Order: sequence, then structure tokens, then C-alpha cells
Amino acid sequence: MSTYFENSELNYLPMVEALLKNPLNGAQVRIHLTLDTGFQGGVLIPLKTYVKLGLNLAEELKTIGRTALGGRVELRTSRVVVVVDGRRIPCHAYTAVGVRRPLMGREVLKELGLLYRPPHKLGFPALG
Amino acid sequence: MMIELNKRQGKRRIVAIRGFDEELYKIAKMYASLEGRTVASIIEEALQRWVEERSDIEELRLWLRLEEAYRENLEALRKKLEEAPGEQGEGYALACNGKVVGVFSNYEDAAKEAQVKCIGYALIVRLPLVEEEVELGLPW
Repeated sequence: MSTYFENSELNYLPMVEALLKNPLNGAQVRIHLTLDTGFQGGVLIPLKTYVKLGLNLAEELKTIGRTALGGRVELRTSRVVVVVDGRRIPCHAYTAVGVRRPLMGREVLKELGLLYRPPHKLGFPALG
Repeated sequence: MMIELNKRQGKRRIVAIRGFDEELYKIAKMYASLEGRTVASIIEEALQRWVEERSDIEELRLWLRLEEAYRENLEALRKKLEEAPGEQGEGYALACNGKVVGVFSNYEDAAKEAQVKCIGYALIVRLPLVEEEVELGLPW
């Protein structure tokens, strides 16, 4: 697993490579997620990835997503385990029609405690 | 005006459109007649192109398929809760195949039961039923 910045022209988009696991059936997908401190939830993933993991087989009540511009978006909601840097973080997974860029939100970031300091590589704080 | 639109392959329904431009309808009907087609097939073709220009149609179809199962399970759950409003309490309700399986004290137990009793889609809902919100960041 690694963290990196995608593009200096995008003001150093912070990215992380992670493994998403369905806690119920063990299905897993390796994915590159944009770190987004503006996103309150765990991970926001494309519908195809959501279905590939089988998250549609055990869903929760849909969640309403509030965009930065105040819009409302209906989000399908399930549970997933994010494996990053050897840590397993259970969190909520969300999807909607039109999601193209997978996001990792604060529900996971609060556990990882990443520091954004471009243009150097992102780093994980020491454990303990 | 009443036209028949293709809801899904093999399934058709009657759709009423209010405020449709009468002249445009007459022109479309005339061309349809000249080409030996129905007005519905002309409108289907136009709508198909319009949808394809806007998004991934396969993704929309997949979403609609999931939506059907979700609604069926949620309706079963809501009906059950309405029948016995005093018994709603707390916990996690499990619904699948359009029926409520039961209420469990935690999510994990409900999920385990879903693996045993549910074929396909299962809905696990925390009680009391409350719609939750999350802040989204980027305009993805």
C-alpha cells in the first residue's frame, strides 16, 4: 500500500492505494482513492466496484449526501473494511450513479491520521 | 397525448406526457407514418440518444435493478413497523426477498442471518428508522 500525490497541476492530489474487503463474503478489490477531508464518510466508490465487492447484497438504509454546494444525493450504503498500511479499518461504503473518482473520507482518515505536506510523499505517523 | 415507452426490454407501459408541443407531435406522427413506424418508437429512439449522451446507461440500468430489490425490502420493513409502531425499539432489522426476517441486537448478527436466510439482496436497517446524512466533499 502506498500514498502519493497524483499531479502537481491538480495542486498535488493526495492519493492512497488500499484494499477494500467485504466483511461478509471476503470479496476484495484493490483501489486508488483520493483523500478527501471534506467527505465525512468512509469510502465513496463507483457502482461497479460496489457490486463487484457484493456490497449490494447486504445494504443499510440509504444515506443522504450533502454536496459542498448544498445539493442532495441519494447514496446506497453498506459496510466495508479498508486495509491500508497494514491496518484494517471497518467503515461505511457509499455509492451513487456517476461516481468516477473514488474517495476516502474522514471515517477512515481519522484512524490513519495522515499529514498533507506536498510535494514530498505522504507519510503515516508512527504507531503507539 | 398517450404514448407507449419501453420501460425495460420486454416490459412496456403507458406514459402520459402533459404539455407536449402539439405541432411537434403532429410532425413526428407524420414522419413516423411515412416510415411505417409508431410514434412510441420515434420517442424511444430520441430518449435513448438523450440518455446515452448524459451518462453511462449500463450504470443506470444496474442502479435501477438494485433499486427494485431495495424498495421491496424497505416497503416490507416500513409496513411491519407501521403494523406495530410500539415495538420498533432499537436494534437492527433484517429484510430480504420482500419480507422482514427479524430484529437483532447488533449488525453482525443480522448480517450472519442474512447469509443463511437471504437469497440475493438483504437490507439491514438500524432501528429506529432514521434517514442519515453525510457531508460530501469533491463534486465527483
